[in-house]
Amino acid sequence: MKELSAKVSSEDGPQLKHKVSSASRTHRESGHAVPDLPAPGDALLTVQRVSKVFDGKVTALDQVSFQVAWGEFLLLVGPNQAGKTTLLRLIASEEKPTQGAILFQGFDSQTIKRKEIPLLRRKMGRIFPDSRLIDDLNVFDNVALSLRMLGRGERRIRRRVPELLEMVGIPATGMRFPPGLSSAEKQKAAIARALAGDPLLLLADEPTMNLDEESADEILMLLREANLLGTAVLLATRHVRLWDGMLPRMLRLEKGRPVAPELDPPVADSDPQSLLCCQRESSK
Amino acid sequence: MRVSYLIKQILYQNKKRSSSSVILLLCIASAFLVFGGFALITLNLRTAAQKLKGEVQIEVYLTDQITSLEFHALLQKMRGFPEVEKVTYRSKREALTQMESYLGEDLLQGLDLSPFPASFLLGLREEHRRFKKVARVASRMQGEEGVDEVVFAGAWLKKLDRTISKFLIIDLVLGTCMALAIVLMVANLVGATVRTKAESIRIMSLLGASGADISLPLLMQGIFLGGLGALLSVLFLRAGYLILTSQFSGIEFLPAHLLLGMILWGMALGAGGSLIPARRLLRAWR
Repeated sequence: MKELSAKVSSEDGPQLKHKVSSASRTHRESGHAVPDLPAPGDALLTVQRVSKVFDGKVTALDQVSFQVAWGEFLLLVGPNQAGKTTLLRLIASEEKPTQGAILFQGFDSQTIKRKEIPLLRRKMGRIFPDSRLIDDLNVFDNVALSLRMLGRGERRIRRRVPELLEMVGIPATGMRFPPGLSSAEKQKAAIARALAGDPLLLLADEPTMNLDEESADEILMLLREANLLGTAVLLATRHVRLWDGMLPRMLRLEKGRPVAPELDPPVADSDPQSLLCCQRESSK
Repeated sequence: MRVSYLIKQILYQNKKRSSSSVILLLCIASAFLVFGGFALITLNLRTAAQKLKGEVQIEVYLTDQITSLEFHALLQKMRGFPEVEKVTYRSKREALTQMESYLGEDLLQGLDLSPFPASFLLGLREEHRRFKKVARVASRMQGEEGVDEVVFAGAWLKKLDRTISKFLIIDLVLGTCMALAIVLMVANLVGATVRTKAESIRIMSLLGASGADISLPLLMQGIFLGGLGALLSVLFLRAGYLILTSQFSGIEFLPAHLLLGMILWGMALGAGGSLIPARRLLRAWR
């Protein structure tokens, strides 16, 4: 895991080579041109007073507001039915907010057109609780999916996918199909797939839900590593105990409401290695 | 998505549903084979008819009292008809000689004067050798000064035209039924693919696949199956034709542009068939 950044190729992710002190300054390619580098602390994602009511009765989210800065790691915590998944679905434009707006890279949830949604999603990486790999495709093709949707050439894909699989620690699984993988391997493959398109923001929804503690630690470390390489991460989880000893900013939701929006100080100035140390210790 | 990947996906999908794909291919090939068979019969019938119609001519019998002035006026008029390709004069003597060649010299021996009238023989241009057009020209000559009678082989020409028309209608009906059947068959198979791939398609859309990313492989699958089925039918037709020509001569095969048209038509029908589930999927997706 230590060698993670060294294994990233310069061609596909030149920006992944910078171990910048403030990840929020990292400029990500993701298949589009961004004219100016964002300033530290610039908002990558803005959620403004977002509410979601289903069928006019069930309030899943109520007046939620927060921002995610470039390269930030934000923890979205809360029990079941807190609205974490709904929030991630709204951010990925799977649903429209009933009220409020979500702003991401020039896209506004209220005005976004249907044909723009794929463009928005290509700038995000998604990790689901059940990994959601396509069973018909082998691991290689699953990871290559994002690259193919971005129109990358096959030669480039053949070089990039093994690098990603190596990076997440499952280099030998390329030709295997998801049903033959363990839960942890599936989730690692899902992370490789999510990172393949060099996303600006990684939306991870309970990625450790079905994993044992050791595997969960590995997955969280991978997310942290991805964050250290410049990708902003929004991690929805119930297992706060896994995060003892580290200092990511945290947003707590309960019954769709932010309980204490800014419980912890921003993580920008914290020691990025703290999680790694902590996780290595906890996994021993 | 790259073409190479799309091709790989199509082959994979067809391999995965190999039995359905093979059955569909054979169904498409059979439909095109029936259509191609009828097209082949129609083509050969038309060719034979064209040859027969080459002999179609209008015989304008002249009265014995026709004056030189009327004769030349009539000739002038007939040469002015756009449908008429050639005008030949057959004198009374030539008519007798011709009749002698049909009936034998003995029967008409002793006739000093020919009892047969002089006539003009009108040959028509190829595009006008149809019953209605021939009859129209004949009716225009009827009643002209110096014309006794106008005769042409109307009955068999009418029959021939009707037979060809019937075959063309059969081709058309068959072609339409076949097209509908192929569209439905392809829609059914691609629909089954969509149903089994619903979860994969959902995942792809969550990862940022556009409508084109999702529907293009389905469209390509339909095009592939339709085109391949039509190509198979062309190969079967050719094989059948070779077997036939070893027994009978003078049979024409379908021209290259028609064969290419069949393959393109197969691809278009395949695309049409796959568009049905693809559109349904994209609508549901919205």
